Amino acid sequence: MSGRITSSLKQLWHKLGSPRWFYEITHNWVRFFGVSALLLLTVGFIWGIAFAPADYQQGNSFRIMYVHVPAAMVGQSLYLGMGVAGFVGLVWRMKLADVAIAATLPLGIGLTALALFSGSVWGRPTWGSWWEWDGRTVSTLVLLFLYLGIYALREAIADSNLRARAAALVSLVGTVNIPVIKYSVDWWNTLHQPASFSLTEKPAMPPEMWLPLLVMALGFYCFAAHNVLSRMRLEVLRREGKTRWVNELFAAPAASQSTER
Amino acid sequence: MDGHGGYVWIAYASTLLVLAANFVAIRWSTKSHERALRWRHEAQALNQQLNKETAE
Repeated sequence: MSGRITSSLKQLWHKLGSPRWFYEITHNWVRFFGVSALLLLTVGFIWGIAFAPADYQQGNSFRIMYVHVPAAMVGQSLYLGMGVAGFVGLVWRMKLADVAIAATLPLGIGLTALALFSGSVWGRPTWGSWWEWDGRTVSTLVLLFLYLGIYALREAIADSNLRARAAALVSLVGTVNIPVIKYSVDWWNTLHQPASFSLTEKPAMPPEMWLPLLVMALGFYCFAAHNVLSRMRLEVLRREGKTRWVNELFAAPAASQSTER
Repeated sequence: MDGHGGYVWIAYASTLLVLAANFVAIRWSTKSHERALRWRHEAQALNQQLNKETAE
């Protein structure tokens, strides 16, 4: 049984090296994640803003949590994914690894900036300040700078191999910042509240407060999967535009109109 | 929203903006790139046809 799983994983690993296979297999995945994101985010938005009870201390400003926490979680997860892609790209020189890094950057920048902005908007009524130089906010700002730095690096280098290696290396090194963000609330005295979700502990909030948060988090993850996979498919088309399989894929409508065939 | 409505709506509106912008950007880029690929192949097919006709 374990042998069969290992051989299937090995097969998948080899197939991942083929942009064509990736392009074909992800067609239905994109649709699935897109529909799931739409449903989950619609339910989560309405639930969080209209039906979740107000917090006894923070009042209604706590509803910002339903967009702030998922944006921060997914922003960090995307960076972690870039770090893994960077490692794969450096060790195995897989073409799709650089495609994944390029495709993750725009959404990663957007969500990390959103986490900082919504955190600032939440901080004003809660802490009485738009910005605090504490561990969590500063390490999240560092994450945004890492994203922007990798984006600028990719734009600045013309040679595609060098660009891929440089982006992979910085992505991999930058993952050091992820545990710093996670444990910053434990390591330093901070105004920021501890983690809203933990895999090992029961949430401190009642279910009517954390369930909409869970729905929103799943919705954000599905949206991220849809967006990153769509960008990866586009990047594959851009890079493989002159190959035979792309020619065949896009020649079909033209061929049917042509009198030659 | 006991005086916090402005903060809550700004946070939700900015979230919708970021998600919508990312969705529209990738959709538009994909469509325009696919259209460009189709045009290129149609142009190639027409070119081949013209070349064949002139050769005949």
